[in-house]
Amino acid sequence: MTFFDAIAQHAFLQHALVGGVLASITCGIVGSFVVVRRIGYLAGGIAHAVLGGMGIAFFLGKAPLSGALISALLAAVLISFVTRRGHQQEDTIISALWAVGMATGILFIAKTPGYNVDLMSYLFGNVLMISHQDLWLIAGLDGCIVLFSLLFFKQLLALCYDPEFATLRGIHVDTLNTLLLCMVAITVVILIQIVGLILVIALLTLPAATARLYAATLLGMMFLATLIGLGITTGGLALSYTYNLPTGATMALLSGLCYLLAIMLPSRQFRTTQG
Amino acid sequence: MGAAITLDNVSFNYDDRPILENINLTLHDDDFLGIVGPNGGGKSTLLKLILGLLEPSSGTIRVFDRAPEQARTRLGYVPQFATFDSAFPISVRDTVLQGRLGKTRSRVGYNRHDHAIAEQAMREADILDLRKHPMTALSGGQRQRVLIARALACEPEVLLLDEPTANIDPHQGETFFDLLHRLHERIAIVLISHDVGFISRSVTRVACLNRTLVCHATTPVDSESIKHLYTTPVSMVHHDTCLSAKDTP
Repeated sequence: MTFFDAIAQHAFLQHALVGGVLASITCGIVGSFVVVRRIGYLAGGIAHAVLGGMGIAFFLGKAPLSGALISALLAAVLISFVTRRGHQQEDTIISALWAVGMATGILFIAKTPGYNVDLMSYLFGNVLMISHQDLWLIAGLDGCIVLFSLLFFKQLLALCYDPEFATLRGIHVDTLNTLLLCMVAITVVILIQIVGLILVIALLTLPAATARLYAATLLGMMFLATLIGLGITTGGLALSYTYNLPTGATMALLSGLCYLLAIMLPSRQFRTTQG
Repeated sequence: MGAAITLDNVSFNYDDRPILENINLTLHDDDFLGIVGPNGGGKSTLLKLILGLLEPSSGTIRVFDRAPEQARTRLGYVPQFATFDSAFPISVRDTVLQGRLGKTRSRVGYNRHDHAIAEQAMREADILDLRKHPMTALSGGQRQRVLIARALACEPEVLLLDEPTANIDPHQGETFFDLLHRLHERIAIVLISHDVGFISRSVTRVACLNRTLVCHATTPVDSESIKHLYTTPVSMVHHDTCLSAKDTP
């Protein structure tokens, strides 16, 4: 049975496909902000700290997704405060959050009674297990991110381009930066469903980094990154179904391959217009 | 003629190291003030204090008789280009439009009035034909003009420029000062440079800054004050005109 026949028949594949489409939109938008603002490391910190919240929620018998959302937002606010005034130990604190979050999650999951298979699916994702309910939540979070980005696009652009100038124009740079990191946190939670928290950074940064090589504006970069994300999630799903490969890893490898090809191809937008 | 900016006994320390000491300065609204001095003399710090990006350790700063943070949208600031990412995907027009932030009445994006002002600013800075170009495609001098246009789009009453000549080759520098001359007809300008000869031809006042500030009423900076400023004897090139330059040891 080919991938396309399978989609028509299996609801879980349809869910996975829709999940991938929704994730591509946030990846395109938020990933572009992450790449131009160079906060990939911060996003990595948030992604790994999330396991702490998921583990605690799991231990308490609550929905891991709600634990993920709360811990991601907490980590985002914490990191935004640490980075606010150029703290000297900024990278150490983010590394600590990264490791402590993961360790907390692993401990709580280990101490949860009963057999648990979920740890692997948190770490590496399990897009084939996405439920109808998950999709509605992801769609809602997607909507929040699109709406916020539309409403505050010019302020976010100024923040990413030249925070000092943005401050001088009366923009509350610190608050806006916290909100941007909260968008990253929400995106991380969405992506954990698709590729798992270890590979979040691949889908968050690589499509946007690829798009950046061709786009002349941030908006163009977001559209292109979304399209690339669509290609990667759909292609990754098809490949993993056809050849029986882990979905998250396949998508992450496709992202890497895509970026590698893009930087090796000679005709790039800012190369050709330079000089 | 009124005072646009006043600094009264302003000092600034960074980790107990004095950067600026007892600065007194009044900038009138028709001034074209050049501030010269060696690297590390506190020039950029002085601008950041005026803009309210830094707090003075002691003394008071008033901008249009208000605290700097409250008045800074009335100032136009042209930073040194090196402070942000030159590979950022943004067009010239979108960069200049950022000057409308804080003034635009449009909730989302910019309205026609903002576009008209940005266009006027680009025309004035002579970059209107570059408006659709990405910033990455511009030369150093062109970028500098974009940043000036962005500052002009703020409709400032005072224009502050930090080392604007750093990226410009000498020929471009000439037309650059023509531009500043034209702007000075309607707004006050503060220009920072380590390039003494370059600055002294255009400005109405020169101040020398090396932790302390020494103002000179008229343009030519004499060799004594420069030696004093740089503490070691410097080889000076005095430009009488563009073409004849003679050494005064």
